[in-house]
Amino acid sequence: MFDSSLPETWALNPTGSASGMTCRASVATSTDGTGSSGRTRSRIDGLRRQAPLVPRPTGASGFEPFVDGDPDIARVALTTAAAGPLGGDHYIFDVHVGAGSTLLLREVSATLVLPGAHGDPSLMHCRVTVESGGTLIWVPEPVIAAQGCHHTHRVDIDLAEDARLFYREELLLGRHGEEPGSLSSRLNVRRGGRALSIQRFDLGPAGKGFDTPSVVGGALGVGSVVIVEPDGGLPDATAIADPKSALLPIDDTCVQVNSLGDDGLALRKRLDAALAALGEPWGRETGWSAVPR
Amino acid sequence: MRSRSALLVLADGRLPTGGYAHSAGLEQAIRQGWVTEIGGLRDFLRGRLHTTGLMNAAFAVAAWNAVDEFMLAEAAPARSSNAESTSESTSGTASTTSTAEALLTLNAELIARTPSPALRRIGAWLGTLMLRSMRSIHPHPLLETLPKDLQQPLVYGAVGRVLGLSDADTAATILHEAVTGPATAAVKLMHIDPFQAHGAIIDLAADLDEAAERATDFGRGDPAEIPALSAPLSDFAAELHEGDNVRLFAS
Amino acid sequence: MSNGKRALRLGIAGPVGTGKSSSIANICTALADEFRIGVITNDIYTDEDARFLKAAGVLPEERIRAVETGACPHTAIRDDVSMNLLAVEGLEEDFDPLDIVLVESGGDNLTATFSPALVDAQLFVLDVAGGGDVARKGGPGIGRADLLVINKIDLGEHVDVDVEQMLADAREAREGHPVLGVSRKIPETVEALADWVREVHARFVKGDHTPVDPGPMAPHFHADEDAEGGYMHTHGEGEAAHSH
Repeated sequence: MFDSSLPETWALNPTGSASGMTCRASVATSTDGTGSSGRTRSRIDGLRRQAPLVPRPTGASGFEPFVDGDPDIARVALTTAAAGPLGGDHYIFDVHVGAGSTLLLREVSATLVLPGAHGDPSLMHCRVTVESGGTLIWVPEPVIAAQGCHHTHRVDIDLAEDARLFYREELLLGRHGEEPGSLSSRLNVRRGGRALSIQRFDLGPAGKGFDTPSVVGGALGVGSVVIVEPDGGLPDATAIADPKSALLPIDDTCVQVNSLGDDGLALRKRLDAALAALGEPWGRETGWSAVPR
Repeated sequence: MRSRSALLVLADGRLPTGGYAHSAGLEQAIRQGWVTEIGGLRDFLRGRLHTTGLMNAAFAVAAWNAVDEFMLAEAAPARSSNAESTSESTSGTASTTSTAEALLTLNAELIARTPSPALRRIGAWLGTLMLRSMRSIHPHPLLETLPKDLQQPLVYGAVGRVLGLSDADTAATILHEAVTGPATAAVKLMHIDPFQAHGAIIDLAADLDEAAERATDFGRGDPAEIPALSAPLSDFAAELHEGDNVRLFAS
Repeated sequence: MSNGKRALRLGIAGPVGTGKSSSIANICTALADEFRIGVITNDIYTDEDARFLKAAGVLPEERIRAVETGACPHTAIRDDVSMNLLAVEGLEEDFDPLDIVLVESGGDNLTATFSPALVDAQLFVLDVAGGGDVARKGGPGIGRADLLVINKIDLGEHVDVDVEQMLADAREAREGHPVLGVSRKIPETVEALADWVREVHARFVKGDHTPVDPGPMAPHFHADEDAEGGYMHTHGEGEAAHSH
């Protein structure tokens, strides 16, 4: 049977063990008095690196949802020191945002998932907790399913009742002109232990019916943004900018954006447009840039 | 209980539970140009059954299993007349509560997997309709104790239990309805004949059976691990449809 | 279900364009001060009728609700009344107490009638513009609805219909059941319609009203079942269905 901590994980070999590289990295933050802005200062007080997952402290750059330019928050960039994950690799990435602290988490480059030598399944499992009063702004780059891969990308985010979240997810089916690999992406956002926003996309050859007019059609980019704002003020009605992108209210303190694109660029533009329409502090009209912002 | 006969009744599109007014997003998919011919319809149905259909079927199985055995026995009409001891009626109340709580938890899990407000609203409406109809068609004390506004798959699960169906057959019913609803609507919406529409359903028989098996496995496990199996185009279609004033189907 | 306190449920059926919505508007206008009224509309592919009634301002908007019938208006009042029933019950619960709930069928053909599971009484609406011979054609709604309304009688001369003849044909087809000629431009006819509703409501409240199912089938002729050369009959409720 499957490892009970990872039930029904897509296509993992039955023992749940890694035939490739196993790696664990983590980030933790806490509060650190009052900063120059007069607001609570956050600090990074745990940073575990294990190649190829290397989280490093970083500075502010470009537009940042919610925390734009705030000098007192903690900023970490996740870098990958090698290609991958490859088939057989199991990566675990733990994030702990301590009570009252704020973490902005980004990535330096997209994650290219490759099949590896034996075509074994690979796993990236992110386990995230945001404690009371904490804020996590997580803006990763796309996950690209290269031909032949069998990858599960799982993100579990457990929020305290009054925690705040911005999380973006972009899934791309293959590199340019390439047949896609199989990618199962699961996002589980829970608040106070209760289900809040749960999504799963099974894409590529192992995703039955994914390329149909009731699921994602011919789109090669599938993306979403989940925003949880305990102070409210989010839209309470659906906003549809075009037929392939919608902002959907989940409840008074949570909205979700879902978009499709013919490629990564089209997808990013739709997500950004939906956020810009939502307005400050979550999105802003900006010229689009190919470099990660 | 004669479960095979009951299964056929529950799966019959003529069961008066209001489903005929819905195309499960097909009308809007046609309007958007996503579905244009019979091949597109077949793809639409296949995508639907492996995502929304499978997820809903898994939730029906979970609801079926959430109905407390003791409560079902306790609630059975044959026994309701001779509730003797205090302890029995007390535990009956306890299992009513635990069944209701379990169903509400499942409802929250299902709602968290349904980002479209329109689909959440329609799911609650169809659930209420099914419960209202089944209370008249086959009165049973269990149906009187279900929480209000449950999403339709959960009502299916409870109804399947009351009718003596297995959880796997209840899952198969949901998957059947997930494709026959839009396939029947297709005849009014597209230039296809009813033979082609039903041919598309028959072509999907193996897919439907496999999805019912997977749904049964998921539904018997931890509800938190029931896969969301998102279908963004179906979400978009439901939301776009809300904004259209002229439409044949409610969804 | 019926505890003697719920509202009188009154169905309005009839072909497209004969004036079902305007009949409801007439009833509401005449009776709004006497009765607490709610309305359920069934449209074929829009919520046009609900919007018409809201725009007419005859009732508070929130007491007018639309049910979408998935291009099958006759199903919604006969084969599968679940949506309408739930809508009626919802309205009764939200605006408790209501005296009368009017249920407007989506315009359909001459054979569509309400199930007794949904309404206590029903009226069927024809209009003179639809042709003077329609009433003679009979059918379950024309023949056995609690009331037949021949609407737009002021138009008779413009469409070459002898209104009196049409009313006489209708009375003959209905074997004495009530027929009313109505025009919203002739106040006494609207008042007669309102009187009929008052009367049905009074009977309903006293418990004297017995719902009658007009039946889905017209009275029809069985050629070879009777030695005398056939007979005319209708099918009572509960009678086993048979094929012809």
